[in-house]
Amino acid sequence: MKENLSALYDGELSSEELEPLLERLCSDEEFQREWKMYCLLRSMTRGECTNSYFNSVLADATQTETDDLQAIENKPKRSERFFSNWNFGFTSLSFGQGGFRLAASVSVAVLVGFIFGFSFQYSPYDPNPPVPFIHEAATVGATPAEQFETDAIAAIDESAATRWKFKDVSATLDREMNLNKLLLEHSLFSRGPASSRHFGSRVMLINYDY
Amino acid sequence: MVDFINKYFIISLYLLCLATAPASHATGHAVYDILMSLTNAAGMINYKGTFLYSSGENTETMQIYHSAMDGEIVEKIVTLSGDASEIIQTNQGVWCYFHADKLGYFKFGNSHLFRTPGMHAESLQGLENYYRASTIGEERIAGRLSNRIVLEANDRYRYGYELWLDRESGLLLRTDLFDQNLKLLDRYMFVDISINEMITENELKPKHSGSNYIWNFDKMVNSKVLDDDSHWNVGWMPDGFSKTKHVLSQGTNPKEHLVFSDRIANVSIFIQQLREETSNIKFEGRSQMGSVNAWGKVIEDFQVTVMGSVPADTVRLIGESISLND
Repeated sequence: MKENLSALYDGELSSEELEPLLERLCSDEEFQREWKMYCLLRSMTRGECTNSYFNSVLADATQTETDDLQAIENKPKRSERFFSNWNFGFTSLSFGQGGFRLAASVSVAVLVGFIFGFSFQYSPYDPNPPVPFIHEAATVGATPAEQFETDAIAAIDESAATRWKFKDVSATLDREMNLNKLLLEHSLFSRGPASSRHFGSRVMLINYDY
Repeated sequence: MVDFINKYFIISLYLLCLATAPASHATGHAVYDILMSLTNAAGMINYKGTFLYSSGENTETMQIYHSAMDGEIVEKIVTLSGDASEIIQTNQGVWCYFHADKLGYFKFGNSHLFRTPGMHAESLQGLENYYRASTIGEERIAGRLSNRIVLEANDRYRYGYELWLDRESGLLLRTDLFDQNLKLLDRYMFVDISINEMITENELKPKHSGSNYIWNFDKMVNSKVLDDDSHWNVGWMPDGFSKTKHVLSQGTNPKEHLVFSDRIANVSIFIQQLREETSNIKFEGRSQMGSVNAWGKVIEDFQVTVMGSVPADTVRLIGESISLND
């Protein structure tokens, strides 16, 4: 079961494996409790929670459990996995359908530039980095459409959940960056009873597989 | 052939389930009444919890903290799987923190630009022309009783939804998005949630201040909501969609943004002026990420992009109908 929880947490289950687990999460209160405990423990081992409640949860966990979790946390991070595929220097890189060349002096800053596509205007040395102001803020004519092709065209790529996939042009950094920026604005202006869904667009952006 | 049979077996089974649902289940207007009353209430409550997002083979686990005090909403989403990242939205803008790489992104925005019209008593009238609504009784999600509502699209221009709304608060606890073949496109589902509890200041703050991060920001310079018509003509929209927002952003990246909604689904049209330094964003044809489809074309010196959680052909047909007014 622990392997299942771990795979669920890390998003490593196939859709066939995922479905019964989600159904069980809906109906099985004991499983929900285990899941909640697992999430808290993982947060603790990542050093993301420090309050006394979480500490007491961790204290209740067995040493074996925490050792297992620590081993999971020691897996390479997504960005490390990404970098591990790069050959620095002037080696041609295979990246999407495009392929580009990268200088050895590539900065880690490229990553956010990649995600959102803006030039950097703040640096660690900037005296005024932006911070959240949490407590200050705390008919169109309908013309019948023809040529509806969806039935004939399958999804471009069912795995395209964490990255833009293009059908008619090559995937380039600039195109992906621009679509990410537009997706964020789209999510901010969405409305309606199902608009809670649209925090999903923000979810996509912070999980973007850069 | 096997896939064909399987697909229609599943569709038949699904329709059979709908047809054999208990007689007490509501349809049509009654469902919209439930939907409206519940979602009205849900907009202004505090909640925090853990949810799953799955699309295709990908599943992510996230925590959310949502605070609504005196009309001001602050929301923080934290990744629990993969690298630690956070996104915080307030009425002033959006902050993204990529802690593993000490990078940040900030988008400034005026709250009046983001604010959208609230749900009004009449606002769901006529929706039955575009969606067949029904309830499939009550189910437990994250340990709470919820009303399960199905919205089936009447045409091929929009997706179908299944919504699980918390009986007590109206909060959306689970939502499944289906295409016209009833294939699941994505799912958001809470597995643990606390509603109407105090959200502390600490819970809304980022894990690290980001003061030593490299920050990148985008500012909507001289942005304004436009009431008049655009220079652009949108020749076709699916029935039921109307314009809900039209924003012009000037500055270093001038852009026009039109939002159309059928009150369930939303479609954005972006028009960006192409210049030498932005010519690399040129995008023609189709793109997709998760349930979001995008379609782009270049008209004179402008990049036109249509985007939304609607079928790929819907964004294409809208995009192909767009032209520059004389």
